[in-house]
Order: sequence, then structure tokens, then C-alpha cells
Amino acid sequence: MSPRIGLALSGGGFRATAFGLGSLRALHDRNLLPQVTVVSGISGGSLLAAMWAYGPERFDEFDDSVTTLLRGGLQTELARRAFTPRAAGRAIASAVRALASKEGRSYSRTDALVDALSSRNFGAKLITDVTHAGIETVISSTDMRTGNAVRFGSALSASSPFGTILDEVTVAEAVAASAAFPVLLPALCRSYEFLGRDGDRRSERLSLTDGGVYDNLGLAPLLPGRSTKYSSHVFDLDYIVAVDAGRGRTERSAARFMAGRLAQSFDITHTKSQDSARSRIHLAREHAEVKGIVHVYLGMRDERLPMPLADLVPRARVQNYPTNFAPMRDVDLDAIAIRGEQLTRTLLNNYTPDLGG
Amino acid sequence: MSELAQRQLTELAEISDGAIQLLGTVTESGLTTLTVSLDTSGIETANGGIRLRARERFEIIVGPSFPDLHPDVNVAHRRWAGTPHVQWGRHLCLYAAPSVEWNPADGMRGLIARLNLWLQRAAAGELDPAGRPLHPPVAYHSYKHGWVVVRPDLGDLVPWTNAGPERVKLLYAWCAKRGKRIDVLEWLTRQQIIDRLVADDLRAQGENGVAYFAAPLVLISDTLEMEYPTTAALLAGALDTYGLNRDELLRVLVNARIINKAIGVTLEGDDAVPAMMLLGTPARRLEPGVLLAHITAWHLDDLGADITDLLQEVSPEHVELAARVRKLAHDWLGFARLQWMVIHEARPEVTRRRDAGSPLQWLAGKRVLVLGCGALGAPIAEQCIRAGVAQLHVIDKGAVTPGILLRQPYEDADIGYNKAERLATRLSRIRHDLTVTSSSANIVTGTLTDPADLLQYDLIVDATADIGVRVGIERARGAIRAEWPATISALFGHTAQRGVATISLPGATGSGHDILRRLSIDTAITAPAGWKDLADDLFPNPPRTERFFPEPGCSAPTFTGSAAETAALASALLVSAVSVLASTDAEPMTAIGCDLSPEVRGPRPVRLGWRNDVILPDKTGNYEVRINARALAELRTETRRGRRVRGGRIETGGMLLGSFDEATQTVLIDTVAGPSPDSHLSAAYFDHGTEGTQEIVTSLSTATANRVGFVGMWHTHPYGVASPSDRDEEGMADIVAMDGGSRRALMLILGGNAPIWEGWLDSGTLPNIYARVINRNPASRQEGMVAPFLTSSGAWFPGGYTYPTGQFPTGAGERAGIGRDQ
Repeated sequence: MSPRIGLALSGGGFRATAFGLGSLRALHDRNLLPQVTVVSGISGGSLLAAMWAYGPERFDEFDDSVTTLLRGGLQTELARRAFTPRAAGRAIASAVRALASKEGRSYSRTDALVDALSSRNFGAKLITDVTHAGIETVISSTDMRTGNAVRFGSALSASSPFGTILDEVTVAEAVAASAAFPVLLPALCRSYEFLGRDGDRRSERLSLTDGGVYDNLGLAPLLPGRSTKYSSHVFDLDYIVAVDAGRGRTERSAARFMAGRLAQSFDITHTKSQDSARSRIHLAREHAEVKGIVHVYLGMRDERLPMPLADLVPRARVQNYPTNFAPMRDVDLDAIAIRGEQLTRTLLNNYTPDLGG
Repeated sequence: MSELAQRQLTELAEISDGAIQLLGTVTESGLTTLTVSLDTSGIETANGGIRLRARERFEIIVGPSFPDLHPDVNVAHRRWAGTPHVQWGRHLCLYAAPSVEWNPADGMRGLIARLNLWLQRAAAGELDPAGRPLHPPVAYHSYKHGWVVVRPDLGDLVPWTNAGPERVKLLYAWCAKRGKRIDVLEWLTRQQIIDRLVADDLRAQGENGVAYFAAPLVLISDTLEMEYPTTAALLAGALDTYGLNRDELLRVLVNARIINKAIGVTLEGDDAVPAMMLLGTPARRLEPGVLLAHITAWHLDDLGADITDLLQEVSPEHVELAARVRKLAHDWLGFARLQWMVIHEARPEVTRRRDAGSPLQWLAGKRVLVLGCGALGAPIAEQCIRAGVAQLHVIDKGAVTPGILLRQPYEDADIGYNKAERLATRLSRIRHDLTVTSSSANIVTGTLTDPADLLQYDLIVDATADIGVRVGIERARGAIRAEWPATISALFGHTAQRGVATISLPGATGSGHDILRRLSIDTAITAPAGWKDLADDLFPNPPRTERFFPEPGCSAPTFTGSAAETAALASALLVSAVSVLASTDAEPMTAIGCDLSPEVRGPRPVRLGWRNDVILPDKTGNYEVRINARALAELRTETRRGRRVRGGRIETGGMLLGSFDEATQTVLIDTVAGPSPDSHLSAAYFDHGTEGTQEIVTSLSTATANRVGFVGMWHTHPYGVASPSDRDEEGMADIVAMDGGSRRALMLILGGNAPIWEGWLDSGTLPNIYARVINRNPASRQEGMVAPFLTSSGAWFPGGYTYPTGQFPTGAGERAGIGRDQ
């Protein structure tokens, strides 16, 4: 039996999408993509996961679709969509309703993201309709009301307090929910029909925000030792490739304004939770819980690469690229994607020499 | 401690509301008998179980060792005699395995609870539940009368398996006697024993005072009472009931006597074989529904032996005398007491191997060769013997010295003698059925020079921890990999706390020497989980300078460690290695690491596996070229990348990294690099640059203690012939001619027509591969001959990771009409 690989694509806006694209290129070159049995994505990583899992069959066409999206960006489109007269009317009405009822706004810029993604081939698909045979998807977001993960997937969509989601979910909706990074986009409000573990059906209104609030690496559902008792997404994997567009430690200067401080304190918490996910990778590797774990980390220190590369794209070149959805310049896209490819290829060859070939 | 028992019982009685009554206490010669009455009403009788009255009286006999030993429980009556687990008619057998069933802390409460459970089961007829192993009946045996080891299965020889009319069957046990011990060697019918006798195939005397003889075996199809008879009269009576009357019983004894006399067995004097009869009844069961023989052995007293002797001597013509002897015999049967011998069962059909579930069961029936009889080899050889190998040969040229006795299993008297011979002698004593053979040959200059002899084995264990032996094995098996037996090589770290075993299956690319090299390389840069301490211990980089010499100046260095550590580690390595052999998913080559140091963390033992290399002859015929799976994967990855970013017709290539092994004439390719950023790549040629190449080579050779370095160059001829162009030849000549360059280098070219080439890229089937070792020839270098072939910048792509700017020519991959340079 060929080994089963779990692929986790972290969040981090287009930086994560571009970095993950480089990783996918390296996996394609080593012909490992057919052995990926589950791909898990968060935010920018879920965008890439969805574009691959629900996108064109051929790798070069998929590659083109991603670079086209990254070059064009989503930000302008979102702004335009959010302020079309129809959308604006809905947004204002729902904002008023939200003030009155304390419920989340029902049309927002995140809804605009849903529409923008839905207008693309992969986004219009149902989450059950994956392109590649034998691959399962997990796209994670967080429900702000319960604080629990909501995981959308090709086999199953669920949130542990409520059970499995019975409604049809589109890829666009799942990706938008996963990408609604609190500081940038408002939460996505949706009502779903749930089938509980006790067999009861109930309807719940969720307030969905970026899946990376807790686990920005998208790694949690892939880690070994999870019990089906507490989680619906449990996989049996031989290898895990965790693609992590985190930038590593950098100097922060104290923000002077309230909004900035809020964002900054959020950033600190966010960094902490990512650090704990990274140490979990280290532990899983140390205890040989799976045959191999490759942590492809954008913020990895250059000198720690196990084999010197003459034309390595240095960390300093890419780590400060922002985590938004603005159009990418070719030089930035190339730099980030090449670093992703370089790290992935070198680490795979070093940590999992028995994979592929 | 009878006071404790009495107090516990009194307390129980007080709170029992009459269910338990203590009726009396008598202490006599250290034993206290507590007579109790228990309320046994309501216990239902079923399935022929014992009948209970509303109250029953029991005698609980408490010895001085209570509560460490459980008390005995008797009843005053004989109503329950004959039921299972009632011995001597009055003794209740409550505990089959007291060491796990009796808990001293529970005291009398535990005893009463157990008794209650026993009564319920006995009443329900469930003391021997169907489908559970039968508890055989008890015969009151004694070592005084000798002991019998029963080895051969009876199988279908028993009369009760086929539903024919035959209820009783007579066989003979062919036995060996050593002192008071009797071994049953085989079961023979009367006809077989006569045939063997006629063929002069039965000998009464063996070596070392062993005597052989025949003993009768009577198999009856009914079980005797659970308690075996204690007198010959009772036994004869019982046998009569089951179809063997007294005359027939006597005839059995007499016939055995006649046969033994004919064979020449010593029947009288101090060396006489015992007059004995074996009895088999269907009273054993391991699997439901299959009854097996329970065997007991009756040792005839001297008078009985004399009478049977008389019976066979007296001629039938002397009618009156014969009748008197017969009467005498019957009288003897009437008054003789039975002497039961101790039986030690070794029949596979009624015993189970205690190593059930151990990976070492793989060794059973295997032919094994152990090289080296030291701290590794000697314990391993012994484990092989106990695991049931069919053949074991041990080789070591060394002698036992005083210093090794503290950790190797030799004795003072062995000093000065050959280790292999002394080990074989000792191990031959462990099993009755296997003699270990030995040789004091030099393994490298002797054993390995005639490898054909080694192919008869199922397993070779190299426990020499000697690099010369490992290289010798590598060289010997190189030409006959497919036939070479599975081979384990083992070695210890410097304190015998950590060790490594390598396992190569038949057909594997390499064995110990080769696998250790792979292991040292794969643990050098980033050690997989659990391997770091092992790698630091076994492959220190830089090498360890302080080494341990047991006799400074006059001995080779060795590891330190006691018998406990070396035996534990050798055994751990063997178990792990054999479990790889026993598994179905093992790679052809595996390394196992065992870390028994107290500070170990993480998983253990740890395991790494390798697929076979691709093996090619070098075109010069001098070398064998091996490309390992990792290098092959990288070659394919780089080529697929080239197709993705530069189009399918553009050549690519880079450095080959590995080593030349002159001892085995092998070029080992461990990993490869892609084109350096300053390389020029086109559909017509590949010019490799130099940027970053030295850094790669230095980084690898430093990390691996020079095990990996530059060995040559590779490049592709997509959709082309895998052979060098003039330009390729010039390039290689240039590389080996460079000042400070290698003395020789390998040129590797990958090519193939469209189906072959695309098959490789898309499915991983092998492409055509050309390999040739080029030796340095400084005279061949001509200045300017290989000047970079720089044409216009549009005609080539750079190497490295950059993506080409702008667009490729349309359909670069399938473009036709591009001429190759050949």
C-alpha cells in the first residue's frame, strides 16, 4: 500500500497561498500529490487547498489559476462587491438589525468574499465534489459563539458541540468562513441544520471567523492520537507535511493607537497559539507517532536548511510580506513561492527520503 | 498463625447470621483443624454435579505458614469421592494455581468465598467446563520410582478417535534410561517392534551409559475414576471393566519382558531397566471435543518383576508349574501396592510452547549460522537453540581468556580452549534433539572464501562486530545476492547500552557493511526520531579518541559492560531483528537500534528501512554502480521539475554525491543535486556551473565524516539516447582533470525514447541509464576545449530554482525538430 500523506496548509493571507503553491509544486515534482489522502487548510491555506482539491485536474492549469488569482488580488473585488447598491442595501439593513438583536450582521464584506469565490469554478462547487479521487478535504473555521472549531469537509462538515451539518455547503462559503480573519474581515453568519450525536436535529446560527484563531497551521485534524469520540475528522496517516507560512520571530514596535494595539495583542496571542502547534509537531516527530513529519516553515532560519542552496530565497526577503488579499507583484509571488518550493523539496529529501521516487 | 485464622473465622461467623458456624478447634502436631458448618441450602445440583445438604460440614486445616500458604479443606464423608477435584475422596482441591488464586491478604474470608464458589461449580457440574483444558486425574506419584519424559505425540494411535469396536489398544514405548530418568522416544506397534528387532535395528546400550528398552503402553477408551487406584487389585479390576482382563494384563507385562530379553536389555542387577507399564486414558483436552491421552506410568515392585520374569520363563509344557506361576501372579496382582512414577509431559499435543507469541518463533525449524561466539554471538546462539532451530553451526577462531568470563557465558575450565567448540558443547546439552556443530576457522580467510557452503542456511548471524567480516560478507554475497540467506549483523556501542542490528533479506542490495553506511549517513544530518543517541554512540563524528583496551598494549579495543548489559542488549537486538524477518512488510534492508541506557527517551527500539538500489554495471566493466532510492527519487524530481518549468526537451543535470568503495569495486550514489544557478540548460546541451557546488559537497562530507562526497555528474537526454555526446566526454574529461579534482568520476546519463522517458517521469519506471567511470588522465586536458558554450541568452535556461521569465516557446515539451548534439 502506498503511504498516506496528510497535507496541512496554514493561514496567512496570500503569503500563505503563494508559499503553499511553492510547496505543492515541490510535491508535484516528487510525484507525491497522488499520495495525499487529506488536505487541511486554514484561511489563505484553505483558499489554496480548495483551488487544488476542487480545481482543474492538471497541475499546470491549477498552477495558472492560483497565480492568476494572486496577481489580480481579491481586495478590490471585495470592496466593489460590498458596495454594489444591492449589497449595500442588505448590509445596512442587516447592520441595523444586528444592533437591535445583538446578532451578527448578515451581509458583510465576508459575504462579498463568498460571492467573489462563488464566481470562480472551484468556489461554486459543493464541498463534497472533489476533483482528485481518494482525497478528503478539511477546511476549518471558528464559531465565535461557542469558541469551537467548525470543520467543513468533502466527507463531512461538523462542529463538536452541535454535530454534523446536514445542509449543502459550497466551497466558497467554507473558504470564506475559514478566511474571515478577525482584524480584516467580519465574521460570516450562517444557520445550519445539525444532526447531533444523540440523533437529534437542530438548527444553529453560527458566527464563523478565521479558522486560525486557535490552530493557524491547520494541523490539528491531522495529528495522530485523536479520538473519534470527540472529533468527527480523524485520519490514519503515515506522513504529515505541514506547510506553515508563519514568518518567525521579528521585532515589534509598540502600536500607538487603540486599533493598532488591539491588532497587536491579537497578533501576540495568535503567534503563541501557532508556537504551541509547532511544538506539537516537534513532539509528534520525537515520539515517532507517524513515520515522518515535514514542517515547511517560511520563518525557518536559513542556516538551518539541511543542505545549502546557492540561490535560496532568504527569509528576510519574504517574511514581512503582509497577510492580506491584495494583488501580488510577480517578484513577490516568485520569491515566496520559490522559497516554499525550495524548503519543501530539501526537507522532503532529508526527512522522508523513502517517500516518492 | 492459627490464632489469626481462628480470629478471622470467628469474626466472619459473628457477622454471618448463622451462615457460618465454627464448631470446634483442634490443634495437633502444628496443624489446627477448624471444623465449620456452612449454610449450603439453595445450591442447585445439575449436570451430574455433587449433591449438597442444607448445611455441610468442612474441616479447614491451617498450617503454621498461614496466611502465606492457603489452608486445606477436607470433608469427613466420602459422598463426593470420584468427582473432579476431590482427592483421596475427602480432600477438596480448591486452588489449581495458588500463586495467582490465593491472596494472603484475604485470609479466611477469601478461603470461604473460594469454597463457596467451588461448591457452586461442583454442584452445577462445571468444575471442568466443556471447551476448557481438562484437569487430568491425579495419580499419587513419587520420584522414588523414577520419572518419565514423554515426547512423541500419540495422535491417531489412540483407540477412541475412530468409532471402531476396538476399546483397548496395546503399544510399546521405546525408551531411553539414564539413571532414574526414562525418556519415551517413540511409540511402536507390536509388529513394528518385531520388525525392528529382526532388522537388528534396536540396541539396548547407547553411549554414556544410556540403556534402551521397550515398555508396554495400555490405552483404554474410558477414564478411570478421578482418583487413580492405589493398589494393583483396584487397577486390574478397573482395567477388567474396560476390556483388559487380568490374564491379558499379565500377558502385556510378560510380552514386554520377552521382547526386552530378545533385544538384550539388562533386566537384572543394579543397572536393570525398570519393570513398568504405561497407561493412557482419554483424560486430556486442549480443544473442545478432542480428547487426548493422559499418560501415567506404573512401576512394578520387585516381586511383580520377578513373577513376570518367571511367567515368561516357564514353558507351557509344564502345565502344572505354569498354572502355579499364573496363580502366584494373580495373587500378586491382588495384594501389590501401585507405585506411580512421575510423568513429565513434553508431547506437543498436550503442551504449549511458552514462547508463544514471541517473534523468535520464526527461528523454529530454521538452519542458522552464527559467526562470532563472544558477548553478542554466545547469547544469540543460545537463544536460537531454545527457540527451536533445526541446525546451528557456530564459528570463532578465538580462545576463552580469563578476562571474558565476567560477561561471556564460559567457564573457568574453558580457558585456553576454542570458544566455538566450548560453546557448541554447552549448547548441545540444552536440547535432546540437537547437536550444535562448531568451527575454529578464520571467517575472513576461510569461511567466506567458499560461499557456496553458506547458502544452505536460512539465516546467517554476523555477531563478530568486525568490519573485516562485514566487508567479506559484502564481497562474498555481491555476485549471488538472490541466493544469499537472510543476514543479521549486530554491534554494540562503546558501553554496551546501545546497539544496532542490520537485517538484509535475500536479494537485498547490501548487508551489514552497506546498511551501516546507509544508517550512518541518514542519521548524520538530521537523525530520525530516537536515533540521535545511537548515532552519536556508534558513529561518533569526530571519531572517539579514548578507547577501552582490556589489556593495554596487548589487546584490541572493546566496549565496556557487564554480563547483564551485554546479554540484555544481545537478546534485545536478536528479538528486534528476528521480528523484522518475521514481518511481512519489511524492506529488503533494515536497521534496528536498541537503546537500553537508563536515560533513554522516546520510542524504542527504532527501525529504519531501505529499498533496494538500482544496480548497473559501469561501462568500463570495473565497477558496480548503485543508485539508492533517495537519489533516484531526486533524479526524477529534478527531471520532472525541469519539464514543468523549462519544458520537456530541455536537458538538466547536476552532481552525483556518494563514494567510491575500492574494496568492493562499487560506486555508491547516495544523493544528487540539481543544476547550479550558473548552469546553462538547453535542448542541445547541459553545461554545469560551479556556484554553490563546493558548499554542498563540503556540507555533506563534513556531516557524514567523509562518507559522502563528489562522485560524478549526471544529466538527461530527454527523448534521446542514453549515451554521451562528444561534448559530454569533454566535460567529464575536464572534471577529472581539474587540479584538486577527484581521481575518477562517474558519468551518468538518463535517456530513452518517448514511451520510456515519459514512463519514467509519469509512472516512475526506470529510464535508460548510461554509467561510466572516467579515470583521471591529465594529458587529455586541452586548454580552451570546454570553454562555456555561450550563445545568445534566449537559447538556454539558467539552472537553480529561478523560473524562466516570460513564456516558453509554445509546446516546449513536445516541440519537434530540435537537433541533438549527436
